[in-house]
Formats: sequence, structure tokens, C-alpha cells
Amino acid sequence: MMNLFVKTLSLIALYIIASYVAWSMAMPPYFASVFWPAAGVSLGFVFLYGARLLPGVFLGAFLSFLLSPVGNDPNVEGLLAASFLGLGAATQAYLGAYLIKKFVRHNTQFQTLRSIVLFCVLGALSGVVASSIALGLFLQTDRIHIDGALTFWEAWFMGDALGIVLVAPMTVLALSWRDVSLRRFLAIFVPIFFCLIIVIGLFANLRGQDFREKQDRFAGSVEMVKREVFSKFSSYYEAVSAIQSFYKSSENINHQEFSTFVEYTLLQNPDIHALAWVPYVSHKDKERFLQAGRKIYGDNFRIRSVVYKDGSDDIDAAVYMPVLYAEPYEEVKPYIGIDLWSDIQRRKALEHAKDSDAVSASEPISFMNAGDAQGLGFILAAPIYDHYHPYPNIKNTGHAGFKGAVVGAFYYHEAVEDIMNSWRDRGIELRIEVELDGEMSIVYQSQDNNSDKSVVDGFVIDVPYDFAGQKWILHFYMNHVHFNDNLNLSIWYALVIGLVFLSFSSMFLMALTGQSAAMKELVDEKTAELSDKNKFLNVVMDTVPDMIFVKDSEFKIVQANQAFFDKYSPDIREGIIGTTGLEQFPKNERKGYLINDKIALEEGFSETQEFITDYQGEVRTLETRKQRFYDEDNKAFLMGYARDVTDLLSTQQKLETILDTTADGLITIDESGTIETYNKACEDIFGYDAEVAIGKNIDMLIPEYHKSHADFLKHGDHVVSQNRSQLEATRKDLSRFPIDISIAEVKLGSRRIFSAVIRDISEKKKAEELALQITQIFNSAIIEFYIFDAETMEFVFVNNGAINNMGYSEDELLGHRPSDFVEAYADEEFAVMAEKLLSGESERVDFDMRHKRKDGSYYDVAANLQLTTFNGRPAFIASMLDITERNKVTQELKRSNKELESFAYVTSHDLKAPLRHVSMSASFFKDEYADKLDEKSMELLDVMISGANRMQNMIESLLRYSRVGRDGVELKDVDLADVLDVVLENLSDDINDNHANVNVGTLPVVGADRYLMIQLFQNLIQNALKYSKADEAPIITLAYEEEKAFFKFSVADNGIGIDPTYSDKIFQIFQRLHRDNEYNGVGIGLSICQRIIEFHGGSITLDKDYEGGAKFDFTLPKVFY
Amino acid sequence: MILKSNHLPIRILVAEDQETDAFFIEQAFAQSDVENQVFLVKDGQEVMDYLMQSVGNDSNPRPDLIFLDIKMPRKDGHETLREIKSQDDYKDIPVIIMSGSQAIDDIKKSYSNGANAYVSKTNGFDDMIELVEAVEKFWFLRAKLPRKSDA
Repeated sequence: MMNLFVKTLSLIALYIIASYVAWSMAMPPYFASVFWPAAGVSLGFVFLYGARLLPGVFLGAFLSFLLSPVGNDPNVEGLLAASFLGLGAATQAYLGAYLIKKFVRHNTQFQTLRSIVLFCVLGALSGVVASSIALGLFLQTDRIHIDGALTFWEAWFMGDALGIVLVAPMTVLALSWRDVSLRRFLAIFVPIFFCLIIVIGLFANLRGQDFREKQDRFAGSVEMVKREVFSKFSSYYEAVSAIQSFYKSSENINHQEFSTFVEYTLLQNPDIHALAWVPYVSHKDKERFLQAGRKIYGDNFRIRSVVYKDGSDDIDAAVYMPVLYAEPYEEVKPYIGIDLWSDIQRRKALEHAKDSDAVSASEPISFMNAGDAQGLGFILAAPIYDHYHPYPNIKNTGHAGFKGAVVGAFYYHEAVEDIMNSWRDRGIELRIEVELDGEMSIVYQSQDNNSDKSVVDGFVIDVPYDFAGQKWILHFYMNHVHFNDNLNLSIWYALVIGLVFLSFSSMFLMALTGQSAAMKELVDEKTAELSDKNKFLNVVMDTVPDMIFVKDSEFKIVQANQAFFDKYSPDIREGIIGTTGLEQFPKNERKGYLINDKIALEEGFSETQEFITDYQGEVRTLETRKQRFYDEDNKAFLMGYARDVTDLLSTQQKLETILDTTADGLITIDESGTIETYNKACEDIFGYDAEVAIGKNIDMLIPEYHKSHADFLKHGDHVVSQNRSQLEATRKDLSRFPIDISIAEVKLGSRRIFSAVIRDISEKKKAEELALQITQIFNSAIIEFYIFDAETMEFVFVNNGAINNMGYSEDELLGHRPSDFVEAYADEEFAVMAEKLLSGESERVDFDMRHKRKDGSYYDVAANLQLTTFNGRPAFIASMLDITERNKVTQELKRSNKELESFAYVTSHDLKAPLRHVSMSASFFKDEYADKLDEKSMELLDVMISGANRMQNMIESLLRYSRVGRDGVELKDVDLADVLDVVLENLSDDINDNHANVNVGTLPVVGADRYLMIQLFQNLIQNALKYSKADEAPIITLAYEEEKAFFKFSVADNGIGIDPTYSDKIFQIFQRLHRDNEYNGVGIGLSICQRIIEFHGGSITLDKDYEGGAKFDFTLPKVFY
Repeated sequence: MILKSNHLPIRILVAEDQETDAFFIEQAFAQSDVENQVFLVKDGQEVMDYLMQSVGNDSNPRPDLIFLDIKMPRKDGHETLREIKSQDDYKDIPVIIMSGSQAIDDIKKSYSNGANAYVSKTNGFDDMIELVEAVEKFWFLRAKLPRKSDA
């Protein structure tokens, strides 16, 4: 509470001080200051301390307004205005603080440019509030005119905005000085304060200079005005004095003389209202005077009182001073006869003149014919005495001879007004005061229409003026409207610019210092945090049983934990910090550490086993990891971590060695089936590495595990129990295989784990199955199998083939010898063969044998004998193939072939001869008897020849066809490249004639008959040449692909092609698709090709999809069987 | 082995069982540019007989060239050829097998038995003439024998 009170008081005090500062710099008429630091102070306080400081702001604004140059009349209106302004200031401060808190943060120390800029912008924005309220208020109370509203508002807003931008952040910083470092505080405040003083000082200096210049100008102007006024008055005096002199120099002056003389003077001074001769008339001289007057003005001339009264023509007094002559007559005619003595104001002047013998002025008089202020004037009276006084400097004191006075009437008011009018644009105002009855009365006021009589300080000059017996005071002052209107605004512009510059400077400084402050704070914070962490870390590190250490790039120990030191002698402990620590270990060990250190330093990481001899002389095995890091100076250092695994290794190694050398797979799993251990054998069995398998569920390996062992897993005897079964397991490659698995429950404290011994039985199973299959095959084979003991020669196994073919039952055969059934086996020959096998000279023996069945019939076999093992004893295995049928067929075939061959040969030869004779005869006939034959006969002879030739060709072809593979076939490796050389050579004429292009790539070597190959390729190429298009050069492409067991060839051409529907027909003998005369040939070429290919074990087809010609695909086996 | 005859007309022994063929062969030789004398026999046996009688016999002079058909009665061409080539007296006489057969076996056999050439019987007479001339020229042209017309 006290705190708040102090703060509020401080705020009010600061507010008022700031206001004073502002006013001192404010532009007249002080409604608006271009700089209003009080707004900044308020915002700073409210921003820091909240809304509870708002009353302070209100009071500050309220009081400062009342104390201000414009608010120093504490009437009701003034109080009201002050209240409004107070409210405005409070609202503005609150709004500004609210906005900033909303967008910046509650407690900014202006460390970031963003917070500074936002603070200033938002604060400045809040300046709208007070300026707007003030504008409303001042408009309402007519303090300003609507025309100047915008300017007013702008100035006020700018003042507040500048005040806020410059002062508010400083206020906040100043008030939170505890949180701000002194350096920063000084870095901001000193330059800003210094600059502020300079700005204000410059401003004050400029303004003072300007003020003095104005003052000087004012004084000069006043002097001029004064002179003009004086000169005017002097001219009056001189006018009267001139006439006085005239009177003095003349004995008597008649009306005419007076008129003439005065006329000139009037001409010189047109603003002289009137000049008159006013004689002094005593009562006894009244009649004489009237007579004299009537002589001039007629009978109506009378002495009249000044005070107009109807009929008061005649006045009766002791002394009169009536106007006798007056000029300009026409204008002042009414004054003729007026008794000036009768008027107290005029008489005073006249009496003063009469008594003092000096020109005397009356006090200001309102002349009769003028009712307005401009009618204000005065009279000057110059006394005239009876006798001429030769020495004017000796005053006539007797007054006895007072004859009268020369009187001038002057409108001084009008004249002064004229003068003032000419100075009005300088803003000079004049008030004239005259002492009347001991008091000063205002007798002139220049047309200062400003109701507010406020005086511009320093711009008042009073000029006292004694004039013809009257005490005048000329009071000159500056018209403040004029003054305000003619301010030198550049001074304030300069101020504003200076302040704006200062604002930016302060922002800049705050940002600059703020950033470093923020950084420093952050660094301090992190440092503190780190040091906390470090302490914590050290404690943690020391409790870790593993060794942790840090080495520098020279491998000197920088830091280490307790566990590390424990490896050294307890005596030296900390002494090894800063050393490599190597001296403590046997020499032969040192190098190893150093190498590891170097590796880690160079490669970034090392992970090794190190062996050290500790201070107790025990060799320990350490698992060490060293990692390279870089410090802030980019210097490398090593962080190391080592675990003493000596004890662990000794037991674990043993166990692992046992586990890993076991051929069976060993797995332990927990209750959920997660694999915990997994030995080397398992890696081979399942294909997964141990790292992969450990942690996985056993399902991955043995999908049925949980299902098949559900009961066991659930109940799991408390005693160790076993459960053995055969399951299917899955390998890494997802193949499935059978396993033999034994599971045992093991209790480890409260944990139940299961150990499983796994054996891959897939090989065994396979072997079993294979054996079974082989037995079956053996048994069911038509081939006869006999196994007989190598020593006893007794049958130990015979298959069904043997039983069926021989006709003996199994019982009849087993236990007997081969020679018991076939006598030939008793021969020496067989014994030699058996001996060859037994001695290892040959692995198998093939022979032909004639067997005798039980029924006495014979059959031929091709036999094969090998040595094997049966039931652990050496035994012969003999396989026999009944070749009786084969032999029969072969012989038959040979015979029929031979017959056919000779038949074909003979036939062809005998068929050919007559044909030859026909054609030969015909051609001979044609040759010899050409001149005796007619054309028709010649034609017929040709038909005969060609028919015979054709027949001949067909027979020849047929023979060729039938001979394929029959006579002279010699199978050997044939290089087809050579074959093609021959073929192309053979066909070279054809090829050249057709302009054909035969593309032959590389060709393989095939096992074939060379002659047939030539025939084959020649036929195919010939065929392609033959069926070429008439208008296109043939292109024949020969290619091949190598397949697994055969070569695949293709011969493609661009000829007329073959309709796919004939794809089979073309290979039939004598099948031609074209008429005889279209293409030559008997139509057996492709048939022969097919026969050659098929003879070699291949096949030929037409590529039906091939377009643009014909394409034949054919195969030839790689090896000819 | 190439024998060059230094006498004219060259003597040619033709063994041909078929009369027609024999006739045309004769005709062909008759029309040949080379001056020749053809002796015709019917089979291999006759060839051998002819050869045996030819020694010192002007009516059966030793032939400069023998044309053998393969398929002949009594003694076929292969046998005859073998005999000719196996006897020192005759083996230097060029033997040309002229057969209607184009069987590879025949050809191979002929050459393996020492035939000097194997030619196929032609179907046309013109061809026959050409053939005969070709054979004559091949064996005798180098003797630069004057032509018939020149003689």
C-alpha cells in the first residue's frame, strides 16, 4: 500500500515535471506540445505496475493541466477540462499498456528488436486516445477553432507519441533497474540523456535567439510608431504655435488675416480639426465684443455656451472665451461664438495656457459633433498677451494683458488609429493612457479584437509622454494572435526531428544492448544449468561401476570417474589427471592403449578389448569404447567408456563355447515365447543370425510351438519335465522343414523359462523317403535287379522285374547263386569281371548274356554289374535288361532296310535308264534332224525331253530322300561355318545372278554328318533364292540361338513367303505350291531338309507369324546320339 | 595321274551294256572336236577281255581312256575298275566312271577304287557332247592336238 502510494506520488511528480519540461518547449499558445514525455512516463508506470497506477496518471494530468499556462484559472470549466484530460491520459496509458502486454509480453526488457518496435508502435498508437479526447474537449469549450482541429490533433498526438516512444521504454527500464545490468543501463541512458539535453538545449537556444530577434524587431517597430505619434502631436503643437507667433507679431489681426494665415497651416495638416482665435473677454467688454462680432458675422452673433441647450444663447459670466475666428470656416461654423471657458475641460487648458504662458493641451474630449470614439480629440491653447514681449524666454508672469488664445482642435484618436493601421501587420498594439484627476484613463486602444488580453511576455513597451501639460503613457504590446501566427516553426521541426532521431537512437541502443543482454542472460542461464548438470553428472558418473574418462588430443587424462581411478593405485588417484596414466601399467600393455586411442582420434571411434594389469597385479579384460569429440575450440578429445568384463567373460565364455559348439540348436525362451538365447547351431538350422533372432518370438521359427506345447507351457511342472516332439519349423528363406524338439522348463527365481533342444531332421527324413522310393522303383522296375554277396555270391535281393522275367519266386532265388540258374556265370569269364570290380580296376562292367527262364526258354539281356555295399557287406548289384525284342527288331530293320535300299537302287537305276534314253533320243533326234522336222514336231520333242527330265529328277530326288541317313553317314563335329562356305560357293552363281544377299553370322559346331549338313543348308538357301520376289533382290538371313540341349536355327528370306495354311504340306514329298513353270523344282527340297533334320534328332517348322517372306526355324541337338 | 597321248586318234574304250546309251556315247564322240576312235564293249568282263587281248593287237589297241558304266551284267563298273587299277599293266589308263547313278555310295566307291573321274550320264544329247568334249579336253588338251579339220 505504501509502495503504491510512493509510486503514485512519484508518478504525479514526474508527470508534472515532465509537463513543465514539455510546456517549456511547447509552441504558443501552449495547447499542444510537440513532445509530451508525461505520456511516456504514465505508460511506463502503468505497463509495469498495472491499472492501480491509473489514479496517479489521472491526478498527474489533472494537476498539470491546472498548473499549465492555459489552465491556470481554476474555475468550474477549468476543473472539468482538467478532469477530462486526466481521464484521457489514464485511458491512453491503460490502453497502451494493455496492447503491449497483449502483443509483446508482460515484462519486457527490450532485448529484442521486435519487442522494442512493437512496444513503441503500440504505445505510440495509444497516443490517439488523449489527443482525441483533448480535441473534443477544446472544440467543445471553444479553446480552438474547428479549422485548426486537425493541426491541433496532430500536434497533440505527435507530442504524446514522441513522448511515449522516447520516454516510455526508458521509464520501464529505469523502473526495472534491478533487472537491468548497469552497463546496459548506462549504455542506454547516458547517450540518450546527453543527446536529449543537447536537443533541448539547442532548441532553447534557437528559440531564445528567435525570441530576441522578434523582440528587437518589435522594439524597432514601436520606436517608429512612437515617432509617428509624436510627430503627429508635434505638428499640432506647431500649428498652434505658428498662429500664436503670428498673433504675437501683429498688433491686431482681423478675420481676413487670420483666415489667410490659418489656411496655409490647415493645408499642411489636413487632419487638424479646427484652428480658432478665442479672445479673452471680460464681462465688461462683452458688448464691445458682441459688436465687433456682429460686424463680422451679422446680428445673430452671440456668445454661446458649449453645452448645447435650446435657447441658451446668451450666457452671463464674468469671463468669456468665445470663438471669434475659426477655420476651416465652413466646417466649424457652428463653433463660432461658442464660449470655450464655459466648458470645464477646455477652460482647464485655457486657464493653464493663460497662467503658464505656454501652449496647453486639454484632456481628451469627445467633440460635440462626433458621438463615436473617433470623435475623441483634445484642444491646444496658445495664450496671446497684450504686449509684445521682446524676449520670449522671459516669461510674462503678470497675465494682465491676456488677450486670448489660439486654439486648435485635434482628433488625435483618428490620427493614432491611422498610424496604428499602418503597423497592424507587425502585430503591434497600442493603448494610450492619460492621467486624469490623478488617475490613468485609457484614451486610446488599438483595434486588438482579441478578447483574451494575454500579453506576450517580453513584448511590452511603455512610453511616457508629457504633452502640452498632459501626462500621456503610450503602452505598446504584441498582439499574441499575430505572434502565434508568426511563429518560426522550423525550430519545432528541428525539435521534433531531434526527438525522433533520439527515439530511434534509444530503440537502436536498446536493441543493441538488449541482444547482448539477452545473450548474456542466456549464457548465464545455460552456464548455471550446466554447472548444476555437471555436478549431477559427476555424482552419477562416480556411482557408475564402469569406467568413464575423457582424454585430450595428447591422450592425457582430463577427467574420469571413480571407477576409472579405482583401476589405478589408490595412492596416486587424482595424480594421474593431466598425465597419460600409462606409467602405471606394464610396458607391454601401454602400446595397446595408445594404438586404440590413436584409432579413436583418427577414425572417430574405436571399440576394442583391452587388457590391463591393475594395481593389484591382476590382469583384467576391459571392453572399451572410445569416441572422438570436438570442444568449442574445435580441438579433438576422446571420451572413453570401459567395462571390466573379466569375471563375466570367464563364465560366459565357457557357457557360450559349450552352447556354440553343440551341434543341436539350443534356444531358451521366456513364458511369452520370446527368444532369449540362441546358439550357433541355431543359426545354421534356421538361417537367422543370433542378433536377429534374440528378442523375437519363437513363432517365427516354430509356428506351431505355442499350439503344440500349450498344455506344457501352461501347467509346466514345478519339477523339470521334458516334452519331446517332432514339429515343422520355418527357415529364414521361409522354407519349412521338420525338427525334433525337446523342451524343458527351467525355474530361475520367480521366472519360468524354457530351454529347447532342436535338431533338424529334414535330411534324415528325406533320406528315409528316398530309400523308400528307390526300393519301390527297384521293385517295380521291368529291369531285373539282383544283389548278391560279393563273397558268398548268394542273392540277397532280387526285384520284381527279376522274379517276373525269370519265372522263379523270390524264395527260390534268394540264398542261391547266379550260376545256379545260368551256367555261364560259373565260367572263368565272369569271375574275371567280378575280380575287376573287387580290385577296383573298373567301376562297372557291361556284358551281354543269355538267361534261361524257369520254363526253360532263353532270353538275351544286356547286363551291368557294379560293386556296392548291402547291409554293411560288399555286394554286387546286377541290372539286366531283356534285349530279346530289341535284338529281333534291330535285325529285322537292318534286313528290311537293306532290301529297301537295294530295291530303291535297282529301281532307280533301272527306271532312270529308259527315261534317259527317251530324253537322249529325243534330243539327238532334235539335233540331227532339225532341218527335217516341222515346228510342231520340234515342240513335241521338247515336251518329251522335259517330261523325261522331270521324271528323272523326281526319281533322283526320291532316291536322295530315301538315302538320307542311310548310306555313308559319318557323325562327327562339323563346323557349320565351313559348311556354309561350301554351300555359298556351290550357290555362288545363283546368288550372283539374283543379286542376293546372304547374311550368315557366327555358326556353331554341331555333331552331324557333314555332307547332310551341306545338303540341308544348300537346300534351304536354294529354296529361299528360288522363291524370291521378281522385283526384289533376295535377302537371306541365317541365324541361330543356343538353347540348353540344342541349337535353334532360322533361315529367313524376303521372298514371296508361304501361306501358313500350307505350313505342314510344304514338308510333304513332291508337294509343290506353285505351278511347274513358275518356279523350278520337283518339290522335294524341304522334305529332304526335314528328313535330314529329323535324322539328326531335330525338327523344322515354318514360322507362321513371320511376315515379309518365309522363315524356317529348325533345331539341331548339340550332341548327336 | 594324267597321261598324255602323243598319238591320234585317241582311243577310247566305252563299257556300256545299254545299247542306246552306247549309241549316244558313240555319237557324242563322233561329233567331238578331238579326233578319236571308240571301242565299245558290253560289260566289265568284256573290258577286261579287251584289255588282255589288246597287247600287240592292232584291232584291239590299248585304249587311251576307258569309260565305265557302273551297272553292268556279269562284271559291274566297280569290280572292273578295281581290276583295272589293281593290274600294273592297265592301272595307268585313265578310267572315267559314267553312271546314271548319283548315289554317294557309288561316287565314293568309284573314287576310292581309283577312278579318275565320275560323271553322270546326261539326259540330253547336247549335254552328252559337252560332257565328252570336256573329258577329252581335260585329259588331252594339253597335248595341243590339232583338230580334225586341221589334220
